[in-house]
Amino acid sequence: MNHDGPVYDIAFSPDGRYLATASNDRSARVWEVGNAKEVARMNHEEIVLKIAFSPDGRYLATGSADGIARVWEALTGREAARLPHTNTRGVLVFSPDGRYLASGEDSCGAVKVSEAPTGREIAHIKHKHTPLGKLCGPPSIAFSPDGRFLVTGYFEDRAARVSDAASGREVARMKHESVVQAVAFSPDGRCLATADKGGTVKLWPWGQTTVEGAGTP
Amino acid sequence: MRARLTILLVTLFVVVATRSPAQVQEVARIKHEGGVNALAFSPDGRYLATGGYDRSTRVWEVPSGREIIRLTPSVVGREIFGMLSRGTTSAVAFSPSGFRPGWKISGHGKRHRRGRTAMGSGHRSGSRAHEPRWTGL
Repeated sequence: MNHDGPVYDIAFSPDGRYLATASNDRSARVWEVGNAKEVARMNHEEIVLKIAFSPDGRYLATGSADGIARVWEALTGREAARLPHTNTRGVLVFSPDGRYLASGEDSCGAVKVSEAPTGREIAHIKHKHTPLGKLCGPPSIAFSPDGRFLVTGYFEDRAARVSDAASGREVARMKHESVVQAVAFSPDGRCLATADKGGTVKLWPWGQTTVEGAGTP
Repeated sequence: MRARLTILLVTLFVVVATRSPAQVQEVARIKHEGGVNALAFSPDGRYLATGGYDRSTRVWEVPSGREIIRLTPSVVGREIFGMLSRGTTSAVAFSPSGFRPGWKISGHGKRHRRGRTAMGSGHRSGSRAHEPRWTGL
């Protein structure tokens, strides 16, 4: 498998049959793992920095330096949707059910949730942001296993936030003494882990009572 | 008049209370000697792997926060993986087939088996080694 430039990101399809690569040569490519045959090529205006398969393997999301995240049909290379104003160094995370795609927005500290196959923006999550020149790092994002919530962290905010994926409404806040660098949901959805720059990792319970405490029916 | 005002205030309070995010109480706290930027739960959710700028990969019991294993500087094993790059453990992952604390880690690195409990969070739930217990659920 050969690109005409450095490769910035790789991802296996969920069934392990395909490998997707993102490259400096302004293309993303999908390869068959067994014989290294190129299955699809997605051309971009600028270099491609991020790549992610949808959980069912049908779609591929790419993040490019032109500030647009694109959703493609993974095996045909047909463009399905465009998400403009996306943080290109950011993260692209599909919800476990494949309905949503979460990405960093190019305005600092913001995360947007889009409908995966259409690219329609449905929610917008804003973190506290104190301008540090033009430094605008990517947020950390993780979906709950049922896809209803997402936990986000940002490198200038001393709290992780859990938001409703469909509305973007903040339902819970996890406070830290230092800025949050990593977030994760446990596979059973009953626990959250958040980590900060000071070296502290906190475990939090998560469940129906936590959400009800926030007043959601 | 007073009754109306009371109703209005109660309604306002309920609206504000239901709109504001819940303040969740932590159940355990884990401490590294440097910033942490990699997290991964084991497939069964009973263990958490962490990694960061102190160049170690550590595994903790969930939800007690008890340290199970500490590995430095990096580990490539069949059960757990920790990648050291540019002076930080930038990625950690469990094997999809799972993790057991008794297993011998096949990668290199120092093994740390002495159990250490979570540090002074005060919210730690009673820790039974193989029965994760939850408070507040």
